[in-house]
Amino acid sequence: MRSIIINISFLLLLPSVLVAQQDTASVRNFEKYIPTGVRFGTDVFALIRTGYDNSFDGWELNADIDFDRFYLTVDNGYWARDFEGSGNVYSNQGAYFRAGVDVNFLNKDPDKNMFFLGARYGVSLFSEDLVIDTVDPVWGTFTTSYSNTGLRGTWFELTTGVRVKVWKVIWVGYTARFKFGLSTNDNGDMIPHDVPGYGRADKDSEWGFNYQVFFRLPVRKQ
Amino acid sequence: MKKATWCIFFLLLGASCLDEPDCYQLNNNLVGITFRVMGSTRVDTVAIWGVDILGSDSIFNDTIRATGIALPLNYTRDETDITFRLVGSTNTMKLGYQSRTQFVSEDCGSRYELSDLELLEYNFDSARLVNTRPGKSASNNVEVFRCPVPNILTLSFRDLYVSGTKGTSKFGGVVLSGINADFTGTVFYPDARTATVYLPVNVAADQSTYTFHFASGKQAQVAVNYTRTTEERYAQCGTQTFITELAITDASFDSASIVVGSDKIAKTTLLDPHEANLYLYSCPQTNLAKFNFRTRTSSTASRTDTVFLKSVTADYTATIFYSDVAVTSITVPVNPDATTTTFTLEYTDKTEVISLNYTRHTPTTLFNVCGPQPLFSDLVEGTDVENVAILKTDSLQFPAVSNLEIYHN
Repeated sequence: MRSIIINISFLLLLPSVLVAQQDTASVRNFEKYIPTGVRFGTDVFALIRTGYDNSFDGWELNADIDFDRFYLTVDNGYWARDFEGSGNVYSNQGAYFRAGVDVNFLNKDPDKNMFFLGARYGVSLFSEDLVIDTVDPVWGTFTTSYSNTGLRGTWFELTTGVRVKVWKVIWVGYTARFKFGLSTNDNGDMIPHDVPGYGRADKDSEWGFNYQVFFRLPVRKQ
Repeated sequence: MKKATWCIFFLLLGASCLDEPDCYQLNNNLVGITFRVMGSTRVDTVAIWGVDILGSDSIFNDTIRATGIALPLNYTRDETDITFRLVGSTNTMKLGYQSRTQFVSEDCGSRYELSDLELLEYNFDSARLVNTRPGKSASNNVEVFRCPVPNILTLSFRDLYVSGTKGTSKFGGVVLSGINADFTGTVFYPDARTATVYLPVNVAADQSTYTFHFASGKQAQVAVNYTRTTEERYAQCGTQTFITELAITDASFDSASIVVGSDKIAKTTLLDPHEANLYLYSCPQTNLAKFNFRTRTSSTASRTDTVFLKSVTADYTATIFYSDVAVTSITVPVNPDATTTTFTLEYTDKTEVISLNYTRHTPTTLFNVCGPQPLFSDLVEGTDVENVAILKTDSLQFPAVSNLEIYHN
C-alpha cells in the first residue's frame, strides 16, 4: 500500500519536474532576445552637406536596439531645401521619421559589428512654397504663388550597411537606402517636388546614403 | 567576373543618379480636337480661317484644311474658351480642367500638369470627350461632329493613258468656265481649274443633269438618277434626304463610270465626307510634244531655265498655246494631219522658230471608247537650229514626255 502511494506521488510529481526542465531551456532561449544595448547616432553626411550646400539644411538622428540578430531601428530627421532659378523660387521644410528592422549577419561578432539588410517605413510631415514668374509666348507674363501645407508623405525602404566598432562605445558605418512606393496626400494646386527624407516626389524610387557615427549604451552583459 | 559585377553595379548606381529632367515641353497643355461627320467613321477635312483663344492673341490665324487641330490650354486658369473660325461658320467651345503646378528644377523651372478635361459648352452640331488628359503633343481629346450633307455628288476628271502596254487612267486637271445643273440657275465652279468637283443633286427629283463648260469652248453633259430617302437620322440635323442607288443615265464625256472602291463596292451612295462617285474620262491626246528650256552652265553641263514667253503658236492653227507666261517647259500639239509642224516661240526680246518633222503612223485603237488614234515618232528638226536638241525620247507619248531641249545662255 505504501509503495503504491509512493509510486502515485512520483507519477504526480513527474510532470512538474519535466516542466521545470523545459522552463530552464525557454528562459535560456528567451534571454538572447533581451537587448544588450542601445545605440544612438547621427548622419555626418547630412551635417557636412548642410555646411557646403546652400540649397540644403538638415540633420538626422538614429537609434537601434538589438534583439539577438534583429535590430529595431528608428530615425528622426529634418530637411529644408531652397532652389531659385528660371524665374522660380521654391522652398520646403519638414520632419521625417523612419522605423524598421535590420537583420545582422555578423551576430556572433563580440564587438557588435554589423553587416545588415533591413526594411523601413518612412513618414514625412512637410510644407512647400513656390513663386513662379512666367514669360509665356502665348499666355503672356504672370507671377503666381503656390503654397502646400500640412503635407504627409509615406514610403518604404530597403536598406543595407555596416557598423564597425572603432573605440570602446563608438561605432561608425553607413546605410544605403533604396526608397520606393511614395504616397503623398496632396490635392491642391501644387504637386510636391521634394519630400523630406525621401527626395524628388516625381521619381518612383530614390537612393539615399548616410554616413553615421553611433554611441552605444550597454544595458546588460551578454 | 567579380570585378565586372561590381563595375555593372556602380554603373547602374551612377545611372540612377542621373536624374536631371529634360526641360523640353514640360507642360501637358495641348488639347487635340478631331473633326468628324455624324454617321461616318472617316475624319472630316475642315477649312479653318483661324482660331482664337480667350486670354491670348490669336493662336492661329491662317487658312488651312485640316482633319484635326492641337491647341494650347491656358494653364493659368481652369477653363479655356476657344473660337473656331471655319469656312461657313464660327463655332465656340469651352473646356474645363484641373491645372496643377510642380517645381521641376532650377534649370527647368516649373511645369503645369493638366487633367480631368471636361467639355463645358459648345455650339458644334455635336461633340464628345474621348480622352480627359491633355498631352504634351497632339493627341485626340475631343471629337466634334457636324451634320452630314448627304446630297453632294463627287465627280473626278481622269485622263486615259498607256502605261507600258496597259491602258489606265490618272487624275486629270480641267479648266472650267462653269457647270450648270438642270434644277438651279447657280453656275458652279466658274473659271476654275480643278480635278474634282462637288455638285449638289436635286433632292426634289430622282435625277439631275449637269452641263460642263470648258475653257477650251468644249461642252459635255452627265445625267444621273438615284433613289431618295427622307428621314431624321440625327436629332441635331433634322430631316434630311439621303441618296442611294446612283446610276449614270447619260454622259457625253469620252467615257464615264461609277467608281468602284478597293473593296469592289460601287460608290452608288452619296457619303459625307465626300468620296468620288463618278469618274469622267478623257481620251489621251497623242500628238503632244514637250519642250524643255535650259541654260548652259559650262560646255558640258546645263540647268533648268525659266523663260518668259509672249506667245507660242503653230503653223497649222490660229490657237495661241501659251501667252505672257514664265515657264520652264511647254507642251504643244504637233499637226495630227501632217508630218511636219513649225512652232513660233515669241520671247520679250526675240523670236525663235522651230520646225519639226516626224512620222505619222496609221491610227491605232488604244481605248475602245476613243477609237483609232494616230501615233507619232522619229522626231527630227526640219531646219537645224543650233540651240535646239532632240532627245532620245523622239516619239510622242501620253502623258507627254520631254522630247526636245532649247538652250539659252
